[in-house]
Amino acid sequence: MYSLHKIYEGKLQNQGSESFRFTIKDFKRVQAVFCSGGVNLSLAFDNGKKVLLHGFEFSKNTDCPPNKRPVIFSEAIEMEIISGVISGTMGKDSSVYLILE
Amino acid sequence: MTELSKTSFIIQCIDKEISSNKVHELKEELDKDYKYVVGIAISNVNASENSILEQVKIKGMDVLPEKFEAAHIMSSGAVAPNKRFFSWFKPVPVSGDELIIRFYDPDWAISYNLQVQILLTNNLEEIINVLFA
Repeated sequence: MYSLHKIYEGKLQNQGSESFRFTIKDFKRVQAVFCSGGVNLSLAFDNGKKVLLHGFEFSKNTDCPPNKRPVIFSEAIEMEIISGVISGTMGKDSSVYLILE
Repeated sequence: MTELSKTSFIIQCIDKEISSNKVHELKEELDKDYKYVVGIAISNVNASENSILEQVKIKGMDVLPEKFEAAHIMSSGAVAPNKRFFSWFKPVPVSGDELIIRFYDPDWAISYNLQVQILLTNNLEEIINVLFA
């Protein structure tokens, strides 16, 4: 069973780039990530030691089924800091979501 | 021939006229013959891609995070109808409970009909396998 969590929400300031950090309790695995369309996302686990995405572009593609749009992986977590950078058009409202198991 | 009594899922459609760029509330009692909500979709025929689901609640609990971008659950006509649902959330046990959706289209320009489609099932395992296949 999956659980959906928003880990970042905001307007892209700082020349269209924002960083975020997040700690997850009560879940053992991150299954997938997705974010607002038209932005680039970098994501690192294990307190910044393990980079999973580096400037990955999330496009606005409604031709793809919604369940297939997240980037799917399987990363075990244990009270660690998940960090990332989201970048795109300055002033754009953007969000990042993790799917946890 | 399929017997209706053995159908394990149903798609419940909720319609609302969106008449301004303000928040509109959709309220509907879910079909009491089905035990779980496992998917949600929005017809993208009319709503703009910047539309926001301010809230999607059942029994006072959030099904999706607040201010969820509607684009995540919208699909074009190129997607098969049974693949248009977003299911990356914990299945919600229901029993004829009320669903409340607060919808907002910041790019609204002309009145249109919004259709939200809710996928309900009695057989969780079976439908999850189909949704993520």
